[in-house]
Amino acid sequence: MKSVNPEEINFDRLIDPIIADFEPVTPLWPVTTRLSLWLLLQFGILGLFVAAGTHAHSPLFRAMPNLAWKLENWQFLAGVAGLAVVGIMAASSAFKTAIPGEGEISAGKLIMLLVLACSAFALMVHEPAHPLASMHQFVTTGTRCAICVVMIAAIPWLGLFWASRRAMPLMGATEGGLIGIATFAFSFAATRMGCPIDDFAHVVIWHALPAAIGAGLSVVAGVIWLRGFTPNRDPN
Amino acid sequence: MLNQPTASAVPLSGEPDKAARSRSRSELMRLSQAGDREAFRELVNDIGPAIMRFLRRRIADAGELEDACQEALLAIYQSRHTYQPGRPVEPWLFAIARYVGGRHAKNAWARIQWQELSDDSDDQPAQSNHGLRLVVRQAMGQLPDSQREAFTMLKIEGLSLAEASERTGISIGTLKVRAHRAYEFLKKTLRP
Repeated sequence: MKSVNPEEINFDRLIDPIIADFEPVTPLWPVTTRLSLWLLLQFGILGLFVAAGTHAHSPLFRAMPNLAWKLENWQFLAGVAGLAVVGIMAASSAFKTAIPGEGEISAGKLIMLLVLACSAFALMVHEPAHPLASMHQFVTTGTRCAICVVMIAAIPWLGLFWASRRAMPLMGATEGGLIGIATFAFSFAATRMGCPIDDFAHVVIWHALPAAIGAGLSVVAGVIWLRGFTPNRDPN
Repeated sequence: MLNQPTASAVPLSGEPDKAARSRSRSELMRLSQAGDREAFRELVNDIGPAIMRFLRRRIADAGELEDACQEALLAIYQSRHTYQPGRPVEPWLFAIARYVGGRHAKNAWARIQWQELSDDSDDQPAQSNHGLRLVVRQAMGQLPDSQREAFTMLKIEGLSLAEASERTGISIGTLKVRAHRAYEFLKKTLRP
């Protein structure tokens, strides 16, 4: 097999066709700036839902009537704070992972994020539960919560996905997973704060399950649409 | 083209200091982002041989290697907006080269395995070296990309941990673990 001496390669010949239409590009903003902007978007969306929930006729999101009392419960508060930390860490990792050489997320850190999310979830459901009266009530209230989980996550998910695609994610599945964890951690926490139902089955099926499915679909979206380098791609 | 200082103002040759060289590469990359075509050309001519050597560890075929190199340069060109000015260029460049090289190597392994399956083994020369090479190559092919890369750099190419870490942007600890896992796997697989 013929060996190639790198010193003898004519790199001009290789790059001439590539740089035929060379144009200036705007460098991406630093990770901290983009993360801050995304958090602004995230909290802006949450604020909108809370504002909408103050209206009595709001069909979806309503702040739970005993929210002030709930927030005095350290377990509930620790759960909300834990999910917020998970969301921020996952979003930060998503921004970093989308830039080559900036730092790949390790399997250990990913596992730590998942453990933290599960712990926060366990803290939030470790409360006195009030079982629902009927199956009809279980389904109607539950459907509303599931829609809330998805709606609160939708715009931040799109924002983070777009920001990642704008960079160059080299690990689509990981990137998609991080985006899913970041957005659905926030939406789960927010929906939990808005929902007055403590029933364990309700929280698992109508809050946690949609969040987990959403994060899973985000992985699939990452595999399909976050493929890193694609020929003929315009950086701007 | 923007009115920026030209690439030729950035000294590259004769710089003994590695940090200074990295700084000048950062400057060339910054100029490339600003639209200076010659700065990009100079950067590619400076870093190209290192990228080629890096890719050669994964791809043996000369034609395939040149294709991979050109694809890596295309990827670097297309993702030049993701470089963060002021940071070292090498981890960014080699992360892209590693991705492109990994993709090519994966395709090449799949092709080799397919060819080996479809070849008539009776027509092959019965040389023990050939057989051994084949077994090792197949075992290496079963390794995850990350482990194969770490093992090749540290155990075959003989790079130091610090050199391999600088080149790949991966921590020394992670490289050690990956190379060790690859070693254990190969030992287990190749044991008669």
